[in-house]
Amino acid sequence: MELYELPMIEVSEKIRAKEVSPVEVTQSSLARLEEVEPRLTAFATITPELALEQAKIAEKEISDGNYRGPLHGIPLAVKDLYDTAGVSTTSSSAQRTDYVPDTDSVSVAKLYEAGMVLIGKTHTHEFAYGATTPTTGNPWAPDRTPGGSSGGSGAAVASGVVHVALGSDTGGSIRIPAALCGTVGLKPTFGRASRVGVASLSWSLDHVGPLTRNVVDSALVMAAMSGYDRTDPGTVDVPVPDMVTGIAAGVAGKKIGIPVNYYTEQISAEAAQAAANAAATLEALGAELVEVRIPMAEHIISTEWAIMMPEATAYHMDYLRNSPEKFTDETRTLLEVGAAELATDYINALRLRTLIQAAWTEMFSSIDVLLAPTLVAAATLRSDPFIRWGDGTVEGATPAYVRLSAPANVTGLPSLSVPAAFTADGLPLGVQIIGKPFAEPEILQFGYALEQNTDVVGRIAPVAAKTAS
Amino acid sequence: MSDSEFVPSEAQVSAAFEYAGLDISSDRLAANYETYASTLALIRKASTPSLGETAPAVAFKASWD
Repeated sequence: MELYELPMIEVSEKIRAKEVSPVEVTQSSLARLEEVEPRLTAFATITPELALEQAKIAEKEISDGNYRGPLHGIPLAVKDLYDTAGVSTTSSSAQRTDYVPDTDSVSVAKLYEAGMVLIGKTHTHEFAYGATTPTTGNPWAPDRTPGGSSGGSGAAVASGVVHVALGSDTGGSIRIPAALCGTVGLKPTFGRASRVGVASLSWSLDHVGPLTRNVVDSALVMAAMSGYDRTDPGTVDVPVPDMVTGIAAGVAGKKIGIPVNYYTEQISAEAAQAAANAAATLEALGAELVEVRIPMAEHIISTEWAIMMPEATAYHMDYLRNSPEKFTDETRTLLEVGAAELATDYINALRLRTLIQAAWTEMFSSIDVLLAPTLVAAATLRSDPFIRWGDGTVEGATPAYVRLSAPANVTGLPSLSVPAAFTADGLPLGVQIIGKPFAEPEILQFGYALEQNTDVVGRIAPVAAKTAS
Repeated sequence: MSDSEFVPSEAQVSAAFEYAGLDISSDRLAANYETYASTLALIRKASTPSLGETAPAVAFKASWD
């Protein structure tokens, strides 16, 4: 068995015990990358020299008795939206072909501090404005989308190149690729981690977080990334909890909200069944299932788009006025829409967000977590990014995938997507566990319970030449 | 006309782009009008009536730290 095939915590233990060197771990990661990258194009930039240099430093530190913890010497992939000092950071856009930051984003700096090793920068849907990442293939079927916008990160983790890749999530961009690629994805509570140094899509809705192979990996990385940052007005000055120690505490006695609306509408039978099976698994472990009605459901999507679009356009206005031809047509069109939105519509969406937050607080007074499908369906073909429903409706992949993930962005609540099943065609499906504000440790407990009691979390895609039917 | 029935005309969208300082050709406007109009109509649905005294969820840093 190759090193990259082992679970991260086993690799960490081998590094700690000096049974393997971070250099060997990095070489294993780079070898896997070389093997699968031609079929996936998950990476915008690969940094083998930097990775081996960082790995050698980690090796010496550990050899000298300065072991930093379970992330020390572990390879990391970073979405190309995150600034990385001295490393090209294009946001997968021709607008930033030549952009090489001088400093690291806060998240990357914290993970370097924890001893992680940068393997490369992963492709994003251009500037995170979409949910398909057209550059990249899904490791389970390279002719299918890996989702997005953190699609390169999803593909890098699912194919085994890395155990950990960073994503960002404005309408589902961590959880969508996690679900479509069969990885774990954690969008923390709004305010839990700093976005400084990450290209913005929407300041009011952006979150940073990890995609990982296993649940405990997300706990370790999210804890390391978290914390108040006075330079990010969105972060909240609350203590960062230990997200790992109690992860195996179980779910007995916990109340799980099972939605009877919104998350049940216009969804594939297989995605609905995967969520039902996950609920049954947790019920068998002693949790109580409680049916709940999602409040203000009819306002969630309009609120998401009404806030996101003008904020995105404001961020990109100089490009849009001076070099619009450098955007893909899809991104340019969305940015143009944002320029035509009335300020009053934007403000009213922010007012609606206040009401939605209050209504969801009330809903959570009777439950501990909400369990729902992460997505309405599995990965579409890259050449045909649409979902055709039984009633004849045709829905674009991005709006379809965003539908079930946007509520956690509008409310700011933490949401963990965990692999839940594979379709008859061999494509992954996920479920999400949405928690109370700053309750990341609790949703990680639920995810861990699912991982321990099912057989779909932690798989590595073979990245075969064949495609799913 | 209620807010929920709002769909901007091509002329309204064109005027909004001009006011925003964007140079959108008539061909481009015609080709993408359906996307522009349907998305702006979706957005208008968030401008729901009866928001009353509700304050917007904004991130202004009132603590000045």
